[in-house]
Amino acid sequence: MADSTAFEFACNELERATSLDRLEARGTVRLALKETGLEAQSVTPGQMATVMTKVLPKELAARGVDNGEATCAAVAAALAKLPDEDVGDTPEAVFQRLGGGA
Amino acid sequence: VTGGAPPGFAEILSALSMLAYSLFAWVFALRLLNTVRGTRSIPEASVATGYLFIAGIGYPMVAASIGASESLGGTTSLSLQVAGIVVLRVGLAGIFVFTWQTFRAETAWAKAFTLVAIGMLAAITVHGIGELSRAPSFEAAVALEVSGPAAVASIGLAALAFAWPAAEALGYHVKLRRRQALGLANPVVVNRFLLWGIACSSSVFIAGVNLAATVAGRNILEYQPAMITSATLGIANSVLLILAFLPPAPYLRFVRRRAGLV
Repeated sequence: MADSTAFEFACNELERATSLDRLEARGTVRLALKETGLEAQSVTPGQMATVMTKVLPKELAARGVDNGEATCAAVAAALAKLPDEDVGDTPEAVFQRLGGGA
Repeated sequence: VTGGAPPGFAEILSALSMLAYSLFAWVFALRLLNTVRGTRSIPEASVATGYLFIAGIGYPMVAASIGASESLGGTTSLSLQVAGIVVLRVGLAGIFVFTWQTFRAETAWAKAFTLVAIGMLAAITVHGIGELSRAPSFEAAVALEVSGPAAVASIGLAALAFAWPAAEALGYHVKLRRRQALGLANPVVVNRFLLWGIACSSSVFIAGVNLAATVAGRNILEYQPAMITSATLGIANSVLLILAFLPPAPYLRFVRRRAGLV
């Protein structure tokens, strides 16, 4: 299964705006997603934006990236403008329906 | 309960357990099947089939075939039992399909695993029907169903049908707990994975107890420790499933309050 548009977008933006190379940027975002229980294949723009603002700044600081917080805020703002992507029927969506929507 | 002896504590507890499980299954499955008509969603259709066929129809049929064997007569009881076993196995197949389609629809090994499991269920069912039809009496047929290699294979597959979703649900629960910390998951749904994971684990434990008793040469329809353990866990199982899938409003409020949403 391919990585989601939101993941690709976040990685590309991070690579463009920081000193991280492609591999480092993708690895950093993957680690942040793992820490928050999300997956590169199914992460939505909204979820990615939250990870960008709440988790990635400290990951970037740990890697010695300057101005990480501002960069993440800018990427999160751009992510918020992305249209929602159909990431298929996730287990979470199935279990939401099994409870009658509750 | 076989014959005319009055039911003991274990039999009454078993009957209550089956009643609770069956009632849950009917309400849950009918609600889901009502929505499936419009959506044609495989996860809902398969889990509804699973619970309806296992708990709503299969277990009661098998229990009735044994409990009412004297009044039904050997041939009718045997037919009822065979039909109940077939229905049960279709239900187990439904649980395998649900787990595959919900957690790993895109994964080749999960598809292969599901197909192999369904193939094995079909094989032991066909083999079992052959054995039952050759049994000299209904009592002998029941004994065949609860002892020997076929019984071990049958209980083992039932354990597997619930062990897989238990592992998937509890693993997914851990992921969702992390998302919940960032406000990215509905606490009711997070809790639902936990409840269902525990309920499936409890089913695995029940199967394990029955498997151990069978391997030890005990008749699980008469061996009191196995009956009481299974029935007690069965009742707990029904409570967990109701809280997960048919949650009363106070429970929903409790979960949301605990998550700090209310």
